[in-house]
Amino acid sequence: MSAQAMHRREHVRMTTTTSHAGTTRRALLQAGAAGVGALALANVSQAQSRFPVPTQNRGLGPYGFLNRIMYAPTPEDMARYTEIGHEAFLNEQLDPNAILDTECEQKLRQFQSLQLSPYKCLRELPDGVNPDWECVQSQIFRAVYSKRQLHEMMVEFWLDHFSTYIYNSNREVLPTHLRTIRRYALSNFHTLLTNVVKSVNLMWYLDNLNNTIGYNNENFPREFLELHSMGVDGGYTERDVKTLTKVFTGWGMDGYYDWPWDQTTNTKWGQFKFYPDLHDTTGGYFLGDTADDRIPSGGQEQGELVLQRVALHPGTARHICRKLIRKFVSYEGQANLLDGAVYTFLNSNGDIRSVLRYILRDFRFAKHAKPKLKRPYHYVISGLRATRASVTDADALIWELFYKMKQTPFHWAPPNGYPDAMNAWVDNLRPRWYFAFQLPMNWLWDAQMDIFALSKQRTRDAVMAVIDHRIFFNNMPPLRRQQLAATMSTNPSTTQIREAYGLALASPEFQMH
Amino acid sequence: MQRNRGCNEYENLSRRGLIDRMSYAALRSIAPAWVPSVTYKSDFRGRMAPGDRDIIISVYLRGGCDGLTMCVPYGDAAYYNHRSSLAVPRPDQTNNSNRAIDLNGFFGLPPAMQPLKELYDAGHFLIVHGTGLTDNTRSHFDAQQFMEAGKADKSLWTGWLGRHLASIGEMKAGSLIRAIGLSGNLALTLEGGPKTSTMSDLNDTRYGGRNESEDARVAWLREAYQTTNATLRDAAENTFQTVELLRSLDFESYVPAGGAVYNQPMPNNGGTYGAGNDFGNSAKAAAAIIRSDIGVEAIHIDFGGWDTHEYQAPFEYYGPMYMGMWGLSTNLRALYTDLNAAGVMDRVTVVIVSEFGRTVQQNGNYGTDHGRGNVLMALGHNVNGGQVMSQWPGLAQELLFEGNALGITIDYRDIVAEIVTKRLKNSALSTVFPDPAYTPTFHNAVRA
Repeated sequence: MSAQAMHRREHVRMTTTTSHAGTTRRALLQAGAAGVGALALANVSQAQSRFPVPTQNRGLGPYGFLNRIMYAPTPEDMARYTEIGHEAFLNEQLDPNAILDTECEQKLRQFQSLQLSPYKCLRELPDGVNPDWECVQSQIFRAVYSKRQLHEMMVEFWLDHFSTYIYNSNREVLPTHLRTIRRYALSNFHTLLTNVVKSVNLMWYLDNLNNTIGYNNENFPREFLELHSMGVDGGYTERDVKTLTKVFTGWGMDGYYDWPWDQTTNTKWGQFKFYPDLHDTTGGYFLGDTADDRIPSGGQEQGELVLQRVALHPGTARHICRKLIRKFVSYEGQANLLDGAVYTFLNSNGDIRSVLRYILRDFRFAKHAKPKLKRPYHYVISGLRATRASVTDADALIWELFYKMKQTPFHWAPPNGYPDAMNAWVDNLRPRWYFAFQLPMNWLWDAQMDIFALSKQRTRDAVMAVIDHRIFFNNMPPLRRQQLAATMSTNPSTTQIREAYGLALASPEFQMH
Repeated sequence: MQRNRGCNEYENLSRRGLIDRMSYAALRSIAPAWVPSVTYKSDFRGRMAPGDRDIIISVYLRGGCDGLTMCVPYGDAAYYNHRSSLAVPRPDQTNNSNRAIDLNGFFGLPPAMQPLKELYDAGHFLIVHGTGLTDNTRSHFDAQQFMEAGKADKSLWTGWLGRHLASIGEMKAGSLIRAIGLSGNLALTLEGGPKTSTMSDLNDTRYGGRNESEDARVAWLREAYQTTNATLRDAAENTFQTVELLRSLDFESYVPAGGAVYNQPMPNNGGTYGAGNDFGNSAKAAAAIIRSDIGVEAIHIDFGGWDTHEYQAPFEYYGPMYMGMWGLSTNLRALYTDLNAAGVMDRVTVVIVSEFGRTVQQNGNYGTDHGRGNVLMALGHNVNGGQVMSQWPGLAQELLFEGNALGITIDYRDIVAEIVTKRLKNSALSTVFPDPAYTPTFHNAVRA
């Protein structure tokens, strides 16, 4: 440990440790989910459905698909899907840069740090602009407003996969981490993995900047294998962790040893840098016992070699595909779907789009997809989108909703990302209902919905039709229709209309997708 | 300007969380005033029958706590060879203020755990050393799952405490809620149990919308959630019950008994920031729930911040180990004082576990990496405390597990199973620990 590093240790502003780090992993939902699936198709006419599937197994239906690849489809999305069909719609979403996203880009103009280098974040931002907080806020705006919805879903997926915690991140480097994930979210896994590692923040959070020759720290190498690439059952051993720990010594951050940081003139401050002097060159056996498996002695190229071998390893393919299927298809997965996805991953050298195209093909999705619970973040975003609410600021949403629901971007302390499991989230319904009832009353700070823009005709039947369309995606179960209609008179008061929207958003159907 | 690079990804308390809680205090006034109030009991004598079983508080130290700091094997000379700068000095180093507090001539407590010494001396606090999960994994997530499930089985997604509740009748007939997880996500430990819910913020019970129509809207939801999948339906029902319960508790006005003080400031810098504040709040909430006598028989608390890969600093106020241990020891002490003064401590057992210990050798960053054998702690009037129970695996290099970790000579399930049998009066151990390869061995850790 250099004297400078020790010096810095004494002076860093100490934040905090401890608390409920809810590192729980949770049961898959098995019981009872089928009920919602059965309801989901009830009102879809054959003409609307483009799924060439047998009638006895119609899956989630077309809008079920849209609800899986988007936070919530708008009526325009539903019309577009019906017009151009499943594969064409999916391909549009898989090419986000071709989608015009003016409204979202306008909303993002308020943020100053998202495109800045770490050095500029450090030296050139006015007081009061927090780059890490802008990362959190901008994600919320993008999820609500972006038309590139599948891209946003994938960004959320990778932010969980490469999860870092805002209170143990470098706040000037966090925008780079986010930018990298956004840029490569739909590219090649090896490219994504390499660039995320070199965005420094993940190594920062997992202590690799202090993993140097003679001063080993296993934290990052172990989580890299377990979480970011091969998966805990991917076939690596304790020996591999130890080899990788040596390989990643000297992988660090430019300017890390400058002090004081806020006066640095090193414009590469905060970027990736390999420190040959801090690197243990010995190498060692990695993922096997043959001479070919040995990482030869060397410098940075050792790490590059590992990234390549690991990114395209069958264990990694399986780990990534399993998570993608869980995210987009069902909690339970399906052995042959996974096998096909893994084959696609390996055959395409880790092309993320190819894997998504494979698992989201119309007949496969129709066959395998099962209902899932929206995670709280997804739930709120979908409610805002379904009601076309306008968001003026994200802070109140974060404080009043996401903190209570325990899902805010960059706020999961352990490195495994927010759990993707029904039981992890289902017990905390009260804050969801709070959101559902406050929003239509326009009692949420900073998010407003225009009830009259949605329901120009104010008869009960007209309001019911709009609610069915926008919130139930034309699949409102008859019983729910009956229950909801009973809360309004034939010509309902404004309050009745607002509360009907609230009940619809709070209903069990809107919790699922 | 820079945040602490320090130490671990498990830290969680947020400054924004604090703001959040403060801003909420202002909003609290709009909560309905009509809700009935439950009195916090201060005298449980006469309420408890001799055969009553205990209420259990299960605490999980997330991240893998360093048991070799929390209960120091100063009698094993090898300890000092492995930890040149992190070791807690022997108790006989009388001019060293960081020295251990002797427990039994071999083990000692570090200064930050001093508040528990009195409970140890009184025979209420037990430490088991060289214990843990017998499966050999150094992954946080696998180790936590296996420990909480009670079996090294990736397909088992219910917890030992949940299955305990599912396999025994209600302690108090007709109770609304039997188990509470004091965290945002329900811990696997409690998974699979009936009438179980999480409460992340005991002060916030708002449904939103107009007060005048709240009853009608809640009734609508109650009916609507009858016709959905069973998981959602049960979660909704538990939510209604929990909100009702919390409103009746009025947690904000809770006054601990016996002058107990939760979240005491650290002596050397006067603050509580980072020192297990959330654990203190949870411990206080647990006491309030128990003293409200509403039939909750299991409470689970997650306490993060123990994955100390860097600068774990057991003596300095900014060190994650110091802050963690201070938060743990002072708040456990407060919990004991509170429940004891209220007369209910005879019926409460606390058990504290963590997924693994840490490497015996310190790493290159004044921290420790993932290890194996660790401590388990238990607190209660029927715990055979006042001892460090151990078949000490030894710290000499040749005795270490894989050359760098403390071995395991006592399966953690032995202790938990004994508590389940003797204190929770559940004989269905094959349900609670459904592992055909495992037969519990009792070590006389608690009294029947």
